[in-house]
Amino acid sequence: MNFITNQAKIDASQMTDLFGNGKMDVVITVIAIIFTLLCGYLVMMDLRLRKLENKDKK
Amino acid sequence: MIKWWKIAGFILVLYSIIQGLFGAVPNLPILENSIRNLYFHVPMWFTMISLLLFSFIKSIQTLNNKNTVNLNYDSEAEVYANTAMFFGIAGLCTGMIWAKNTWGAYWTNDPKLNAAAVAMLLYAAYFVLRSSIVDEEKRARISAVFNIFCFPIYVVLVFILPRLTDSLHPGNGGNPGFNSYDLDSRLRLVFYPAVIGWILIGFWIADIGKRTKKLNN
Repeated sequence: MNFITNQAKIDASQMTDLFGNGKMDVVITVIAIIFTLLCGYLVMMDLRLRKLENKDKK
Repeated sequence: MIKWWKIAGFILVLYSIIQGLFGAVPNLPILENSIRNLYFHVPMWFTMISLLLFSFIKSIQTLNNKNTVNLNYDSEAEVYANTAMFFGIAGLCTGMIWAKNTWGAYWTNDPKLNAAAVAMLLYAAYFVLRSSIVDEEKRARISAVFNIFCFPIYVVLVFILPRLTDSLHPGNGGNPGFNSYDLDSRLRLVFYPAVIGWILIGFWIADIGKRTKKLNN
């Protein structure tokens, strides 16, 4: 059970506040936009390819 | 309908992003909050190596027949290598950001960094080689041989050589690896789903590339 219990002794609450200066909000927004665009593009391409493949089969 | 493993990849990556940015992390010296990059930087390399392994296998399959080359496998090998490069560049970018925050510079003389750059150039040479040969069969044959050589060299450059010398990377050059004490259970709960999720996303991108090529042909 070492996998479960092996936790660092110091807690994250002692670290500098990440959200305090607003930088983290920018990081989160940028990552969220990139990931949403990537997944949106992948879904769109997947569905479009499926349509073309079905047409090709006919 | 989108296949289940693609949806699983999306959900796992989404979970790792949310947990990676908002979840609790251990307070590690020097690393502090930059440890969150573990969920983004390392999965990129795992995805890259998985895709390169598939590219390597497809190249072997290309040459499997004594008399003819299988062009379909060759095309798949190229798509896998292409997608792997995309993740390699993402891995380099996330690594550079991490390096700036922990080591003080975007690029250091670390053997692992230099080896990764050389390995990327090796695969860049693979694409140059492909585009320089017009004849399809000849291209498939020569680039498959090159790819079969590239993969073991990549493994040696990125995973073996840096371990034999001094390196800033964890687990290399006598440094303790994340596994020994840094990667505690809170990190593991996000790290493993992130690795699996990004690998699935990588294969999803490769799948789209393969199908697009097939339709174009």
